[in-house]
Amino acid sequence: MAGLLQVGDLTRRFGDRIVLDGISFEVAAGEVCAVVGPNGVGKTTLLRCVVGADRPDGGWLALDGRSLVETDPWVRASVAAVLDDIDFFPDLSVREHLDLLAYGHGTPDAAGTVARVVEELGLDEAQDQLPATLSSGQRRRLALASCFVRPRRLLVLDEPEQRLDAEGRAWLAGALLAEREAGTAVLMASHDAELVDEVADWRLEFGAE
Amino acid sequence: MTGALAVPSARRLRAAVRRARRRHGESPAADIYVFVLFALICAAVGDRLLTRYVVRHGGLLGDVGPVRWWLAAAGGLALSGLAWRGARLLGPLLSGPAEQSWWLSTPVDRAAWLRGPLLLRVCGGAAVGAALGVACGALAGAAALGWLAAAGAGAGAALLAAAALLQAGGRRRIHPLEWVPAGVGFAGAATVLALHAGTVPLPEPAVPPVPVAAAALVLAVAVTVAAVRGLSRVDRAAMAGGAQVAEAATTAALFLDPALLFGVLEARRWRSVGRVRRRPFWPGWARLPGRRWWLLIAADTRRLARRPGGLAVWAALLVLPYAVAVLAPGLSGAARLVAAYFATSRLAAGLRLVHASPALRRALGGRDRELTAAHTVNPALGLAVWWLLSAGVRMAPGLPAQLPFALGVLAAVYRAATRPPRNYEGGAVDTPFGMIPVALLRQLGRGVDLLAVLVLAQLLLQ
Repeated sequence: MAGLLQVGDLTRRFGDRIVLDGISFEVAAGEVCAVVGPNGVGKTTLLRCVVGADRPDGGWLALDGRSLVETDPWVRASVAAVLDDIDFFPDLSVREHLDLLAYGHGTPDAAGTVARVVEELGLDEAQDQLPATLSSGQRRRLALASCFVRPRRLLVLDEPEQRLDAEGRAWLAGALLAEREAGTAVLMASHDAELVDEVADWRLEFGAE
Repeated sequence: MTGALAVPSARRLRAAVRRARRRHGESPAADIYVFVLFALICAAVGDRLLTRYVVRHGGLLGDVGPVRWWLAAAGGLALSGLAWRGARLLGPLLSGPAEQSWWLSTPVDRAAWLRGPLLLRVCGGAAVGAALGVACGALAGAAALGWLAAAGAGAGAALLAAAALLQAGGRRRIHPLEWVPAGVGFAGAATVLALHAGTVPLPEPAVPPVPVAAAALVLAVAVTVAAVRGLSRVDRAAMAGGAQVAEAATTAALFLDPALLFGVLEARRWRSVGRVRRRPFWPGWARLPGRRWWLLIAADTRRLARRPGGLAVWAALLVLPYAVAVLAPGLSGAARLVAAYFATSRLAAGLRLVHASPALRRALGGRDRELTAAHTVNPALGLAVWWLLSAGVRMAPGLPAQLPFALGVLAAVYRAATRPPRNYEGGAVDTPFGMIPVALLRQLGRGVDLLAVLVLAQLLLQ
């Protein structure tokens, strides 16, 4: 099965320090790939290059056989991501963030989709709150919700389990399995061995000798 | 699942965002009022003080013929080069993490989303360029200030648009060649000053202002059109770095603390360097008495050598007092003190670092006074050399009597570098500009206060 996400010979340097050295792999539709490894080996850098938040110094990326370039609206419509740099507008409520994102993506039945995701993530009580009043766990849930109120073919998550309580982690595992069932390709970096064991089809190991 | 969706236009999404934010946000009118009021008061007070000083000294500008024109041209070029560096550092198109995550991730037309911000920046560049054109024209004693304003506006707009064009082309790193205009400007000013000092006659400039203005405006339009066409190629990565700098600059302005901005710029600089060559410290240090002290100085010197930009600024600042001595002799002593302060500050990064970090001091061991003294050696030596190199600038007392001023500059740099940790909890006074934290201002004024006293003394003596 050809990969939905194809990465070839990806290289990223900071000065003369090589963080990604010719990385190549594929993630098929309906497949979950977990990027694992110790701190500082380039997991986040890889994800940032995939979503276009960082530019690789070499190599290529393709989505469904088409060059994966962040400026392409089709790519933005296909790739949903939560990285460590996500932030919120201090003057927009939880619900407004999600409503506007769903609107920007042209999500069919945006209001219904947002309501469902808000309920699933346990944010219904907090949906009129401004981000400054949310706990770190609620902020994490809001970040994750941004991926599920919009269409997607590739889901890119950087340590999605961070700051989630046990209930939240259980929901996350279920949501990732549902994404796999729905044919979404998932590329996630994680330090949670249990989560990786539960949802990942295969691991991309970084820093392994 | 991602095909044939009703994605809104950029205008509609922006309008929806604006409507939602208006429900919670405050009107920016209050901020604009405070800014305009502050600018008007500064302009009125500054104008009155300057006029008094100029009247007292029988005129500000010296009558030095074409050298004024050449210095104004070189200064304009240097400032344009620095503005180019600033524009490239910021983007000039940028978006914060929230905008990247929530709006730029949508398939909304990227070019349409960015068109407004680009045109706003181009207009800002034109306004600043026009002001710079008029300032340089006035300095040069030119009559056609209107045409110079037009030329400056065209150049400013073209500069911003060209930076956006490079951003769209994916040029992330600033190429060394991009420093050339600023370098040529400073080198040109130094050359003009050297020729003037050697009484070499400079030719009368013969630049027709109308064709120059027309060319600048045509260039601005052409580059802006090209930049607008390239907007669809501006990616998230290109806008992310500038946002970090802009956010740090805003926070630094809000908290009246430039160190917050410098921290981000430092982190970016070292990240781009990535790795440095490992070299042992000279083994001869081990044989010197007080080996530890010498090693601290050697480490501080090595860190300075890894900041070539800082040394370049140290050297470039030498031009300033000499230029002021030619253009406005009454202000030359003050200009020398201010330039010496900034030049020496560039060498005091180690002192700032050691003083600001108790953890670092604990790790280095020894007494705080010893650490501070070791990290004051380089700034002191740098100031001594700089002071000698700028000795040609006339100051009120003769060279031997200038020693208190030089020591005063060193003390000001020391005071600024050893500011206590910021404390935002002190008392605040309600003013027309909002709440002013007095304790915080006193902290941030440390160092600058002494410099102000030195400048005032110099102005009174000169």
